[in-house]
Amino acid sequence: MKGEKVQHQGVADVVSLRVTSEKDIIKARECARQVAFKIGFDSKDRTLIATAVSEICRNVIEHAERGEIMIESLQDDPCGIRIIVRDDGLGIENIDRAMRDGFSSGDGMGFGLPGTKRIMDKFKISSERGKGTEVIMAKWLQ
Amino acid sequence: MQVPIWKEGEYLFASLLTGLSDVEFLHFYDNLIHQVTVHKPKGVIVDASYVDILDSYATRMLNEMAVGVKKEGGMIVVIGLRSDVFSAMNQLGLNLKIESVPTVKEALTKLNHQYDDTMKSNG
Ligand SMILES: Nc1ncnc2c1ncn2[C@@H]1O[C@H](COP(=O)(O)OP(=O)(O)OP(=O)(O)O)[C@@H](O)[C@H]1O
Ligand SMILES: [Mg+2]
Repeated sequence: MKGEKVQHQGVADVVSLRVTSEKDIIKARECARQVAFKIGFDSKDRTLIATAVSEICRNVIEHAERGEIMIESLQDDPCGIRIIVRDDGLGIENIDRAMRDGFSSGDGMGFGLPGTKRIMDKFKISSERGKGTEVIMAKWLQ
Repeated sequence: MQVPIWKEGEYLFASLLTGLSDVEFLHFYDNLIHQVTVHKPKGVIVDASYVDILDSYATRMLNEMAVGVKKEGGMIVVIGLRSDVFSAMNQLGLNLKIESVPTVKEALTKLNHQYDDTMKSNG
């Protein structure tokens, strides 16, 4: 999946980063924290957002090797942050199973995907075997 | 960035830094286990007040450290963990299997209790 920059309606600002090494996980979550700060999220929410980004980017490195992340500030209706993480790895065979608490195909604890869904307001994952995985998640400013 | 570990009296202290990479975490793990083997401290106090995220990797590393230190007869106590960081980790569904207290003083009390108990049970 290639990273084209598409400006959606209502998106005030987009930052995109490549995720190719474990150091990029840290860059991505720091960047998300900064964007969340600018939008006006409180420190509790900023930490939730950064933790979600850490988990999903970690999955890219661990299960797909490389990908990219786009962090968008959403203006009005509703105001918030949207994060899109894509990779062109092997994809997920069974998404229902991957979304279950405690399921890991490796030696993980298996809380990355279901846990991230819990801490975000919107969470959508799609994956095609052999093509890659895309996670779209968002948190609204209360 | 290397996580500093130092010895003070019968205890080891370490201070986690912000934005530690996985490799740096792993180095800390190895170094801590090494220091514990060498010094056999009564306990280890890890300052986590600079930690701004506990994701699944960091949590797993800390839990594994606790197991490693326990094997050497010691115990880890974490101090200064931010409540937003702790709560995000919990909401993810993760479980930190280490005692977490606000201050060094409370950590020392915990470690001393634990140490006395172990001594008693070992006769
Ligand atoms: N980007 C991805 N590409 C391919 N497979 C993935 C991807 N993300 C997740 N998966 C699959 O979904 C499973 C569940 O992911 P999840 O993040 O919940 O757990 P984990 O990564 O295995 O462990 P943890 O996140 O607790 O360290 C993974 O084990 C993996 O098989
Ligand atoms: Mg994961």
